Amino acid sequence: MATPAVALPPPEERLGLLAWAQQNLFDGWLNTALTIAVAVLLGWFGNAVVRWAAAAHWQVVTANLRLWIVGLLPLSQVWRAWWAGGLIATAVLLTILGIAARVRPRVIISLWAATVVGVIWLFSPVRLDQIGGLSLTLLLAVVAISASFPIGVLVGVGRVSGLPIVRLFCTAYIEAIRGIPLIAVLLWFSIFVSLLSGESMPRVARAMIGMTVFASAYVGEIMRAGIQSVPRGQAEAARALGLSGWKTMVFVVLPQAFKNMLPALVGGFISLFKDTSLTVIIGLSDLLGIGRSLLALTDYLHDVKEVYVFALMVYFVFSYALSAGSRVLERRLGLGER
Amino acid sequence: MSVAPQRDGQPIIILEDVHKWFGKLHVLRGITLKVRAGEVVVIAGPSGSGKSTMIRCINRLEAHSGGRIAVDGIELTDDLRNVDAVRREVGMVFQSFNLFPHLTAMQNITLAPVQVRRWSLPRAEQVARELLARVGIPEKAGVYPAQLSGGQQQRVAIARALAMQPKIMLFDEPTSALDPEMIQEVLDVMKSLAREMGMTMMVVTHEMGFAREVADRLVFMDEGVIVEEGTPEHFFTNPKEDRTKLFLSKILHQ
Repeated sequence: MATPAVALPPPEERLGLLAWAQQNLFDGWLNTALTIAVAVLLGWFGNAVVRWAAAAHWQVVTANLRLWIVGLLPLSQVWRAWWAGGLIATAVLLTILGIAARVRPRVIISLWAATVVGVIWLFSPVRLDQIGGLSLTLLLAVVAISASFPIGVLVGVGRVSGLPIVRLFCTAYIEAIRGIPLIAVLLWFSIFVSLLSGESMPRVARAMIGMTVFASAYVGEIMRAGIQSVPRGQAEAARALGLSGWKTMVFVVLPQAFKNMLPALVGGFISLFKDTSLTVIIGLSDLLGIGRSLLALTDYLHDVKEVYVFALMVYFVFSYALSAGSRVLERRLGLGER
Repeated sequence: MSVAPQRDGQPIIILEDVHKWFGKLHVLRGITLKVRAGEVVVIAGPSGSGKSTMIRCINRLEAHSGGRIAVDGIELTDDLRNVDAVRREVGMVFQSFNLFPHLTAMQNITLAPVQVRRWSLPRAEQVARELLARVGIPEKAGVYPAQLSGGQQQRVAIARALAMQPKIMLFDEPTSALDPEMIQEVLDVMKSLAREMGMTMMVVTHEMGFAREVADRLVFMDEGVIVEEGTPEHFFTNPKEDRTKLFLSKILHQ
């Protein structure tokens, strides 16, 4: 009888800090020179940034926080924005706790449904055109994302439909929108819709429609790729069990397509969030629009850097949060992977 | 529960002069075959001979281009209601299992009964548990396909097809993608289906041991036609056609 093989622990691979630095940073004269050069460059740049930030006129931000957050919302209505903000912050906090405690997705979805209803109720007496600043940016992004997702799924399914007319229509829509820049869509909608409805439709609503129409085409194309990434045998197995074409899509193909497409989808939504800044062109005062208005005041004429650095940081924080959230979701969805 | 196989002579699957083209490629060149209820038919032949295409035509995963196919008295035409009716009566097991990776074994099995047969979930789960016990893995109900071995996945796939209570089961090379040590467990499940349930089965396979033991009839196909058919004894003792002899000598002496 052979002796049974024994499982051995893997060899130790951790390096001390010094050994690590020697191996990775100062390995030969060329690497040493590069390390020093990069360190000097980083030090100089960091120093410049810190000194500028210390001397900068942050009053343009601190003295106008209300404008940055809610824009020109009438003072009597501002409390609504604070309550809405508090509601959303609570929901975010509860979501993070809920994910950590691994509660059922259904609970988190209902939490957010309740939050949305609450926010809509709070803002119901406010006219759309009165909202501005960060609130407007978030509102545009949330509406465009949540409206373009279901529409995009339909367009994506239509793109691979067995019916030639549906397929042709969806392909034409996607190709037409992909050939036009978002700014053109926004300008076109703000003019075209006002021709149809007069001035009755708020500019913000026109921007929402324009962004949704634009984003749906991109979501549709992402979904098409996702649907086609699911092996043909999956749909065949479902059809062989007697499931209809629609049920095959809903229960078998789309859940797998969605998982495959999540990174691309979140990427699309992040750029959609940043693209809300283009609404400045049609005269909306979103986060960036408020910044530009402030720069027009005599007090802040020279605070260009401060205004844009602040706006940039806000955009970054929200985009990064989206991206981090999607990574958590991806890990969770990886549960049953093949 | 041992039901005596009832081979009552009524054909449940009828193929008459069936043709199929993929573009210009003539894959099925006039197939005529009748399968009686309770019969186990094994289809063998070299790759590219049209075996898989033929059984995929029977539940219309492929539409035949000419001739006539009738299953359990239902004509397979472009009428989608007929196609759905046939698919409810015909279960299929694939070479690559095709389990739904985002669903547990239990959910894989209950999906179609709940969505198509409109069973309540508790009833479907009850049936699913019985089927998982029948295929020998009752403890795997809550497990995702990725956590199962190939043989276990294929047994779940068989249970999934059986949950729809089909009258006919089609097997498209059910053991070809399996590691050698897992082939037997799947063949054993298929044997018990044939013997204890009297299931009507069409099996595309190269497992000649299975054919010899279980099949009522063996069909040998080559280049889109049925070259020879008969009992397993006939095939293994005195096959007539040269192509049959050549094929059998290849797969029996590997």
